[in-house]
Amino acid sequence: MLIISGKKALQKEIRDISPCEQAIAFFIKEKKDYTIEFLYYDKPNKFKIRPVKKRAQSIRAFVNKIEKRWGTIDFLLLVGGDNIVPFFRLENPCEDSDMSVLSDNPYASQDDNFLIPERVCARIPDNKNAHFIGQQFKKGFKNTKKSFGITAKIWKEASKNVYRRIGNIKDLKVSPPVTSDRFKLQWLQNKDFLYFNLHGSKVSPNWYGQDGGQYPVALSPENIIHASGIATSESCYGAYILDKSHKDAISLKFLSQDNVYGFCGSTTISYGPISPPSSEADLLVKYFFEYIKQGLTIGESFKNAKIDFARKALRRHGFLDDDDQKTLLQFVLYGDPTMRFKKRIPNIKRSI
Amino acid sequence: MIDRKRVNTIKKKISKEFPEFKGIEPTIIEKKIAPQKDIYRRLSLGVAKEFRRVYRLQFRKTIKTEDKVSLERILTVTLNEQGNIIKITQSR
Repeated sequence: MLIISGKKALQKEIRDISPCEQAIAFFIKEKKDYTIEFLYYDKPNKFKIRPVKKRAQSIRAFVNKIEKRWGTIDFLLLVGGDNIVPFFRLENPCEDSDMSVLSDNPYASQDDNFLIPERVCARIPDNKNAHFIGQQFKKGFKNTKKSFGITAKIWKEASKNVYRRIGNIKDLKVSPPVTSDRFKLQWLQNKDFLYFNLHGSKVSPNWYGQDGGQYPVALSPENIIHASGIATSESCYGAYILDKSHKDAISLKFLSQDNVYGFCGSTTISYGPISPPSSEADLLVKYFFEYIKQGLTIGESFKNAKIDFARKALRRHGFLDDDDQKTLLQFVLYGDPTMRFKKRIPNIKRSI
Repeated sequence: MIDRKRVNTIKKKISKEFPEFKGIEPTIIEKKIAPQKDIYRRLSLGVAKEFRRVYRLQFRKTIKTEDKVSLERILTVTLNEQGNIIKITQSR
């Protein structure tokens, strides 16, 4: 596993980087099943790979050079937000208002085929806070066997098809009638899975329900207190974090919780079906849940979900269309990718 | 190119099933999809299919949420070469 960040940029964002470095050192010591290296892309390293500047393309080339010297990198963890390890700005396959697609996919790929990941890639955003970064490295899973899900009313049937993988569809909340001011804090507490199929916006901190022409606020950052589990959102811009903090990005608010183990969502406008069968965001999230339930790490579950998603789409239509391609590029994973819900069989040393 | 009669049939269907998009004129996009050989190879799925042509009818509108945020709503109907609906998707 390779953990990578930029020292200069990290210092600029969080000032004192020592708590962050200590947390990473602790993480490396604790994760005995993994061979882990932590490197700054802008500092000399033991592999004698020349440091690079803060550019996505250069950082990716740096990682691939490390791999050539060190061996296959199964897990890549980017530490910091866009100002530290920049997202790639990829051409948007869809005709919508996104100028480009913010993506981590190229970091997960050795060649120029960015759609299908070859390695696990996750990111720990910085939230401009050293404690926040350190917190992500110290989380431990507590199994509750309970889930929470909420959907906009218009996608109720489509959402049931996803939610049934993690819970009883009778428990799936629907907005409206559920709104932010009627939201019960305990719904998000003591859970393994948190599922959201709501509208999202780049400029608003809230996620929205829908019934016809009515779009109520279904969830706001204030609704998230002592939440737990893996949070997964299909909302447009659900994982958009540029110039945002835990105060105005639900994804960061979730990650600021001690017992939220990761966040999976979209950086841009996302798509999904009106009703089953699952496709686009619905299908990707469904596969993600299935692999986590099987006991894979959240990183492996995320990678496998993208591979299975592409296979399914190709079998259905013979090609990946614009929506499928955008779905593969725009979904990102935040948090420690080695987190898993079931204990793995001990005494098996994992590869790099 | 897809004929006007087929477009009107789809517009009627969308108006009936998704009243919020009633009266919206769709943008029609014709896409020629090249064989995705690299993806087939990466996934060990055999031989990529030949060139395909699909049509995308995109219905777009901007709405206001209850807290006055503007949201762009996009509904896309994808048709195959024969004009049959392959799928309908909505922005989240």
